Amino acid sequence: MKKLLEIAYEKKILKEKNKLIEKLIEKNKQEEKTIETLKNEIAKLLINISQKRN
Amino acid sequence: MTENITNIINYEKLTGIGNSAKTHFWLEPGSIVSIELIEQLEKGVKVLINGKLFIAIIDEPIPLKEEILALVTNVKKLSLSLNFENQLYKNKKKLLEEIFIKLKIAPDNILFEILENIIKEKKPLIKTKIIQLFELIGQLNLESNSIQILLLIHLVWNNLANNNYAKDLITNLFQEPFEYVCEQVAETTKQILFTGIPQYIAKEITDKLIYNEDYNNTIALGNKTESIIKIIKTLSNYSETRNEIKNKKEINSFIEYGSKYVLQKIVLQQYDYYPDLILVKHNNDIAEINVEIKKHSTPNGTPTYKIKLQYKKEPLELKGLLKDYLLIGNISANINNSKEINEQIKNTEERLLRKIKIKTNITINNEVQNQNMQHLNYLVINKLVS
Repeated sequence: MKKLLEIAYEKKILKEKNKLIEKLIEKNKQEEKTIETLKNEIAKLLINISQKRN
Repeated sequence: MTENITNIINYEKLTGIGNSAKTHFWLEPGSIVSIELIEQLEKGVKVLINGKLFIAIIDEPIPLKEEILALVTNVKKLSLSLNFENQLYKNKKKLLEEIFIKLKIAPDNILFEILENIIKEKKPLIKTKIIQLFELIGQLNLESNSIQILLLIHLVWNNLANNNYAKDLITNLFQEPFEYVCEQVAETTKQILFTGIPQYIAKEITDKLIYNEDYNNTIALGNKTESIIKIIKTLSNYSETRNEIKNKKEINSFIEYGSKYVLQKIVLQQYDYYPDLILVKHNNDIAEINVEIKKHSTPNGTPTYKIKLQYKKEPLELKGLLKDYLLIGNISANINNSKEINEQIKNTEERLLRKIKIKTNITINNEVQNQNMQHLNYLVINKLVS
């Protein structure tokens, strides 16, 4: 982990990390909730269908 | 030949151009023209269209002095569009061939697919950007139909591909596609659990990463970034405080791919991709569900989401489109007991309406083996997106 992060840092991958995280936080909370809820519910549906099939 | 247009009263709002040039004499609807922005004026821009000078209103933020391709949508009242997506679904091969002729680039199958991706991402066809992208993909040796290509398109079009930033990002973080990283996270998770790990670590992993219907641990269905970071921390502490552990290789592998999973997701979300991996306890094994969610912005500001959840190792998937609080979805599966399944769908629809006020219309396509039907459904969804 440490080595990977060091490499990433050296290569300036993480240079924008803080900016990216800040932007993420700023994103509309409602939108994130929508995506998460949608994903959870559809995943549950597929899991149920899979179990019924088996 | 130069044509100056001073009357701009009748200009179209979007990429509209003055109509006094009698363009129907030299342009055909559906043809592709080369445009170049010469100068920004107080109202409108000076633009060369196939070498003829116009003053136009262009709402898109297009750089000056760049060659850009546009589609002629109306010749009597000249209008051009920078969006080729509709045309792509009408006659893909013809459109892509014409674009390559216009760009003076010799195409091959890979470049065809990349150009198709650029159009689907709704990026303006700026010649220098396209050439830069093709060169980068060649240097990085990427597959044409991968998420790295989509990321690279955004980096190039957002001017982030200079100074080796894009190369470094792809080389160090995205050399392995997100889907492969997810496979490795799933695989190393199984290996760690099956190679004798202390109970407290096994519990943390199963609680946070593996959904079990009996426990309804929905944390494993949600955003797992935080969970994976915590598990990495736990595994690192465990690994560092012991001299010899038999599953060190598996632990290091999980740490490596877990870190890549987190970092790749952070970057991809910036470009409106929300891919994910869901692990599910399935009898005595762990099943995987791949999640692909892509947000598309529309001109009126209402976002559209294209959604795909796919059960790996089973012919079971849902493709859907969410627009204006309406989700239209289609499940492809071989299902015998459809009455029970229909009840499950109804329950899901009720929960989505109650929790996030989304109306839903989910249908089942039993003919999962029928490839033509799958292809047709996919096309319908693509059309809805456009």
